[in-house]
Amino acid sequence: MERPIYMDYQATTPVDPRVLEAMLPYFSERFGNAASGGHAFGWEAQAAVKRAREICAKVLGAEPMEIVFTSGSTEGIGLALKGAAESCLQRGRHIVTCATEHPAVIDTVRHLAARGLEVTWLPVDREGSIDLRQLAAALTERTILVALMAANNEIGTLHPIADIGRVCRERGVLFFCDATQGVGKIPIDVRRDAIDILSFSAHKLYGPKGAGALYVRGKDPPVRLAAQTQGGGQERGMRPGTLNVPGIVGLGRACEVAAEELSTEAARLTRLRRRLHDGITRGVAGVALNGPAEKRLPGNLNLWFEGVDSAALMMEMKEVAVSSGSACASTEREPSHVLKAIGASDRQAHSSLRFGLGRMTTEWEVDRVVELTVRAVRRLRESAP
Amino acid sequence: MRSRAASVYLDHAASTPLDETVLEAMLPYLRAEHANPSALHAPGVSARRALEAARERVLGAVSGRPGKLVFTSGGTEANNLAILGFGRARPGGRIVCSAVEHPSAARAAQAAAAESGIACARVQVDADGRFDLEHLAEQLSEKTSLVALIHGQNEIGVLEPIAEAAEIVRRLAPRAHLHVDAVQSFGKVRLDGVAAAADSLSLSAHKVHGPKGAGALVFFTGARPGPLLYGGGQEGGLRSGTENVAAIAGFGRAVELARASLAEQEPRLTGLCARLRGAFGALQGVLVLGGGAPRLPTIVAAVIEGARGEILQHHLEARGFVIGTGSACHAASGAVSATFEAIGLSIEQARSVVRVSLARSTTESDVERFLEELPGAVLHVRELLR
Repeated sequence: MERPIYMDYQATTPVDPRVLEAMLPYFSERFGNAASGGHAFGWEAQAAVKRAREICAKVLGAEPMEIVFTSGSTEGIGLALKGAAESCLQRGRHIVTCATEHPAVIDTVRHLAARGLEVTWLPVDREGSIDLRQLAAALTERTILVALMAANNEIGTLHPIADIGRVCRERGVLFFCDATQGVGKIPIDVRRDAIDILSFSAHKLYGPKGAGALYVRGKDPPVRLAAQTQGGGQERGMRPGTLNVPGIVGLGRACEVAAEELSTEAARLTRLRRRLHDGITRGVAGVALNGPAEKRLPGNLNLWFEGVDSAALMMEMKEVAVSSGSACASTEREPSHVLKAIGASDRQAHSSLRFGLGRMTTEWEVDRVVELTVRAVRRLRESAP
Repeated sequence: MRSRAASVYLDHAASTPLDETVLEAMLPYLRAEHANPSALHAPGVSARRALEAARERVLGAVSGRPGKLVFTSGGTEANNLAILGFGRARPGGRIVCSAVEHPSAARAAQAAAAESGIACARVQVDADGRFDLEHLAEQLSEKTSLVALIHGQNEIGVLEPIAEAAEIVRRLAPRAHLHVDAVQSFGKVRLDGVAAAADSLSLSAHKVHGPKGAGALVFFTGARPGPLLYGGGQEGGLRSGTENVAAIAGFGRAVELARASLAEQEPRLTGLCARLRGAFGALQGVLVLGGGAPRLPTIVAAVIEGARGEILQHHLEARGFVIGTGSACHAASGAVSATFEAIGLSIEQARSVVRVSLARSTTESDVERFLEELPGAVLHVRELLR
């Protein structure tokens, strides 16, 4: 079978050949352990990690010492939330977050809630946006942290992170931003946006799976996170374990490439997304957009196909790799918590499809996906009882 | 200084070079087969298949015992998942570990014990670094919830008496979970006996010519560890986070290679280590660690009296030989290893330890050439420090 057209870039992205090229030497000849301080194999690995740390920091507007390498965003999110909750116990036990966060945030917050932490779940409007006044009103003396994502992985909503950062800073509350879908796609600057902790992952920005990073503010004043795993003291004790040097090198290169191409790529993807959206809505009736029309992640399109089951639709258009929700949840057939949060019924949620466009997406692919989607929707509606 | 490529690398206990065919097994997943294994479309299903094939391979290489395997980001995470995960599943219990654990196990055990508000009991070792089984027995009771023991010790190279220790644990602490850190021994010696005795084992890919960023926790109990990470529910809910498909595929291939070559490599490497131990022992003022105890076929460690480990290391590196001192993890912190303290070395002696560690890729000539250089290097460094 011919490989399907890949349109699931919010689930994961291919490794950019430039990234793989940077990684390859660190798989084979430069295989040293970055903690081997006594010989050249170790120094070489250390130097590569240092360079990647500098790049990640630069892309985020941070300092190198503020970057903690992780195995990915799920680990970064766990370390941020549990680590901050543990180290702020003296100050308070209240966290503010939102119903549309990624399961890594929601489930970690629930785990903390089961252990006595108070949680405020901010509601969202029909586009998935929070109300800043509601955020400000939710903050109390006991609030230690606000956890809000930069860009939603299912419906592409962009939260106003600079405004959120400002509100949090004014009230002396930590702002943790899950920027897994945002880094390299939309401009983020941790100083300008007043972000205290930020998590992201290499495999969402054309880097390898198994590498991610956490920005942890290091000054004015530094943020302390209690380590969630114990070991050899790597990453300033916050994240022990032999560093995944090729993965980290790949993460650095991926950040570099994404930063260079951010504005042109965002414009290109916005144009392709509109083309896809227009093409599908011209071809079939009863299609509605989930999430905002304008202020959204450039490569994300989430559509509701009235009266069509999304699983059946995916089967009907096997030539396209798309997703009916977030990749993590897709093995279970629960209605998407994000779509539910924006007011969709179970039926609507089960009739929605996420198209994820990315760096390798071409205009030809978009046109072909329009054609395939329109045909599949028509066929399913015709055969419906 | 010589170029890296010309060097003889003898620090495999820190990390091993990736086997070429392992990289080949990984590359498809870093290129066209890049899908998320949780995705339901065909590319996702194909990635999922690669994961499951690797899971079977790694599990099968451990032993024939049916068990479950959770992929992690490496050995440190696997030790933490076992010790914190199983420890938290039985709150309030006593935690026991040995005095020669890897920091990831020792500190996880400390943290797990601290959550119950009690200290972690440390089992003493003899001068060779082997568990004092009587002391182990004294630490155990009905209240013991978890025992963490290392199998192949990473700094001394001894193999610990896991089967004997397990028998004592079962008798005196029948409710305890027995976790064994098999990171250094996996792929180097057969693990059937250890797997039969333990409730869980931790493994790491980069110690067996696999990639960094992949490891595993294997467990044989019906009980499940409490997860360290929450989210997408991958790995049966025990390890959320998008799986590192390429590294896991590489892990599977690395394990296959290790398994296929074990019968040939174990005696060959044992012979090379015996040569090294003999040569170290023949030098004056050198204490070869581990005495006559059973050993990993890959690690030789010795105290070189009157020579600081890292100076000897640098001197040998300039001559083209890369060796280790304490473990890489301690090297980062600059602290003296708890293991050396446990076997009764003075601080001065601990600082004079060198570690030579071999792998499948080590040739007889590598070892011969190293041994030609060693006596002169020791002499030179001793002169330098006098």
